[in-house]
Amino acid sequence: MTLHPEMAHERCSELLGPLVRGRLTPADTAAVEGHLSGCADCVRELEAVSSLLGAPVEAMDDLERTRLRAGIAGGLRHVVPVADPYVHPDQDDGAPPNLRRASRRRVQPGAWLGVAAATLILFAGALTYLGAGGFVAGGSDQGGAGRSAQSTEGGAGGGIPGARAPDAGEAGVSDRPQMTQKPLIVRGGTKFTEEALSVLGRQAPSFRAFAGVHGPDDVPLLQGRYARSLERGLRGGPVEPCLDQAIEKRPGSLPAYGALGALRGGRVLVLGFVLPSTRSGADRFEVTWWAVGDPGPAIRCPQPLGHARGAIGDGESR
Amino acid sequence: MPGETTDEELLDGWLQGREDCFSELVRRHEDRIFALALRMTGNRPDALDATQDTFLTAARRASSWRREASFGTWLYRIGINATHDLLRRKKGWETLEADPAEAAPAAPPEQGFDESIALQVDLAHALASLPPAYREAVVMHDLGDLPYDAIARLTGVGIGTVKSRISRGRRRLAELLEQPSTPGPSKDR
Repeated sequence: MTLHPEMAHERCSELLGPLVRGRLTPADTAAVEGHLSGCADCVRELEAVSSLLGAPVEAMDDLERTRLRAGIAGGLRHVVPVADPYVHPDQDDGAPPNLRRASRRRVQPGAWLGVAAATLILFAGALTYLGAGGFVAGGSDQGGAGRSAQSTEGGAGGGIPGARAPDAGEAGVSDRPQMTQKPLIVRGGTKFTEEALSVLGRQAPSFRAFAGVHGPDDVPLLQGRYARSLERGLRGGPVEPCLDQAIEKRPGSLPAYGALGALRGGRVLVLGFVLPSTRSGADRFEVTWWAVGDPGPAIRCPQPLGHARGAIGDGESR
Repeated sequence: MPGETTDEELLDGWLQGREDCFSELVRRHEDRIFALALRMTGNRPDALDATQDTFLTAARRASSWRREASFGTWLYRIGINATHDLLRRKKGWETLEADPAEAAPAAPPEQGFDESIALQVDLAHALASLPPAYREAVVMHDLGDLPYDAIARLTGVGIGTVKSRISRGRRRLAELLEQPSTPGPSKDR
């Protein structure tokens, strides 16, 4: 190989990877080494490439590995391999037809933002129904969550007297079941605004963005992701057991939202699900919340504190 | 027995509905994909998410593997794409708050730290310090072995920009690795 004087630098840069990988011929190797002897920039580049390719791989720790495998296993439940040799995999919007997911044909893409808003509104309504005015994201110190925390700490602003924002290691609320007996539908007057979102603390904008950019086809990918995110916040709380419990009780339901909050000074896990309609009726959603105060590993999901459900689009959510 | 079969046979098993076959593929390749994602994202929670996305995408697209390249190579490409997609989505999506201790790069090594671990910590720090566009291009090309044109298509910039990002990213990476607070890489590695 001959290195043209004007191209030598760029060409040398291109060949550094193959050089470190041992893929160059002796002639190319000699040519690159010749350039390296007079080019400090390329020597630096070579050092970086060598470091990248030579550094030990950062391994996952046991907990990360467990979470990853659980997340993948959870996602695989929604991936149904069905061989179909007659349709090319590249057809049908890029998703192989032999691996359709059950969720695909159920939920209308536009419904997700509505679900997000309706879930928030209903959950806020449910808390009011339960007599809990203060609701903050666990450990939040900014945005709407911060404002909520202040109001609850002072026992003002609609919060329960004596209620306070939870600490990371705080024990949970009472495990006495407080199931709401009838669906809590909030109709009219409630807008899907930042103020409404702030009751869910700093995680709420994430949810709005989440609903805006993800569709039902993303559920398998997202399921384990937010479960893990919540688990990190809960430091090993019962996210996945609760997720499994809810899905088991309502076959076909699709996880749409997860958040941590506070209720009466204790931490609650909130999970929202879409329940696709089996007929021509509207898709429905349901939000359930559990007390999850005890940090540390949790392998069983406690009894839920409450739930609310409704049809997507209820409550003028958009 | 999944542990004694080839990747190709395992993928065939998955296509026939055997989840244990896919689980075995995960066990075989998870560390490599995680390492790639960690290099690209610079933090462990995102790397885990990207790793999960990679395998679920592979499960979904299993039948599209044309078997011209090895399964590992095909999966690696999916990993690059999945991680790139994750990083792109994150620009408009603030994820749920992760444990800061978990999200931050590991602390610089102390005296007496095992040298191989020190290098990987240094590299993680240095990569995390790179501008994201540089980091992504360098990792895609040098670690992912992706050609310039493929990176250009993925990132939506010209080939010249890709080359420039890679060159500048490498040089910056070398500078960061040479900083006095952290020992430099061994040339013989």
